[in-house]
Amino acid sequence: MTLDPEMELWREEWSGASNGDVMPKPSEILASVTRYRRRAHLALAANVTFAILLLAASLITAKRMHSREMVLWAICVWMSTLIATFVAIEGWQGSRVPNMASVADYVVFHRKRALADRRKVRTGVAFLSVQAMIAGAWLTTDLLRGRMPLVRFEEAMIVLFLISAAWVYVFVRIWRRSKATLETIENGVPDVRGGPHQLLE
Amino acid sequence: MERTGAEEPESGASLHELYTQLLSEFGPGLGRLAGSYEAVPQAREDLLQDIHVALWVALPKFRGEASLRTFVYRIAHNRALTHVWRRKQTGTPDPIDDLQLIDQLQGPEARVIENASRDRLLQAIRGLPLTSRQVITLALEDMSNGEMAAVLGITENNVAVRLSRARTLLRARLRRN
Repeated sequence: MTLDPEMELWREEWSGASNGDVMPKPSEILASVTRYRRRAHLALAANVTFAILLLAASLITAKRMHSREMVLWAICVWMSTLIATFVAIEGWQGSRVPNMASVADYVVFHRKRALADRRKVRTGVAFLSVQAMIAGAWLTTDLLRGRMPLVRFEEAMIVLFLISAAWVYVFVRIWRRSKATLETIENGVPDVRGGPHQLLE
Repeated sequence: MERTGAEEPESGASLHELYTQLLSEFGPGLGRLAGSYEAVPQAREDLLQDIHVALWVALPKFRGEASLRTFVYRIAHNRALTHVWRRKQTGTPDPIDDLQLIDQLQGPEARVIENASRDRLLQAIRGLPLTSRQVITLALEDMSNGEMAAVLGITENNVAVRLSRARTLLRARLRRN
């Protein structure tokens, strides 16, 4: 083996570099893992329960009532159910990130995931716009034809706005996350004095 | 330390044993790796904790197809990448911007002088582009080109090219510092 004095000198300096670090204790790690798993299970269970409850409630109400308000109710139910399912799938995807993969594969995986997220957001925005337009037009028609009092109309529009705002918030978060990931991978992390350096070669 | 499929850590006790062994063997190296990504102690601890949690979660899936060292450093570098992405997402400044502050926070002058060379090296490494940082930290952990190729998922030739580039950059940074 060829001696490399420069590398050996750096190794010597490097090996002393962890003296000031506090190593996590196995018990702390175990506690973190337990917390992480409990949170993941609770979040998934909450999302599934939420979706089931909403679907069940909408079915029961639909069986008992056939009024126009059912339209509003159905919109709320289905949009909320979509949010819940979406969040649950997001969490499931997050837990399937292949930490054991090589760095190159990990980067490729995250790039694909970020691109998929962007597609998902674009589709979601289009879907939300169509849903909001249909719901808005429907409610307005009902109001103009005198099938719905003004107070109900206002309430319905507020609910529609709040649900749409929740969706927009979710979309913005996903978009920002995917943007940060793609920028780091494709444009690189700028060196302090140098230029960007790409992770994908 | 190689493991075969027959030695899969199935029970909690053997998993705990393997983790303890891993901690004593690779713990200091992982601390150094976290230090090469984060200068701020709290952020470094967070990254280190994240790496250890990911290791613990992944450990039952270790099949011995690669060496334990490769397995550990793959996870560590992948978590560090996620850490960098998160930092970018939240708009947290690059750690290098905090170096002056960290130097001031380090306390007694004697300690600063004692740690000057290691800090100098760590500072210089933290300022390297990600790909150079990855390859140089692996080389400093005494990994062969083959092992580095397995961790990074690139060819040995590519490792050699990256390492040569990283060394040139590091040399220049050290000279500047």
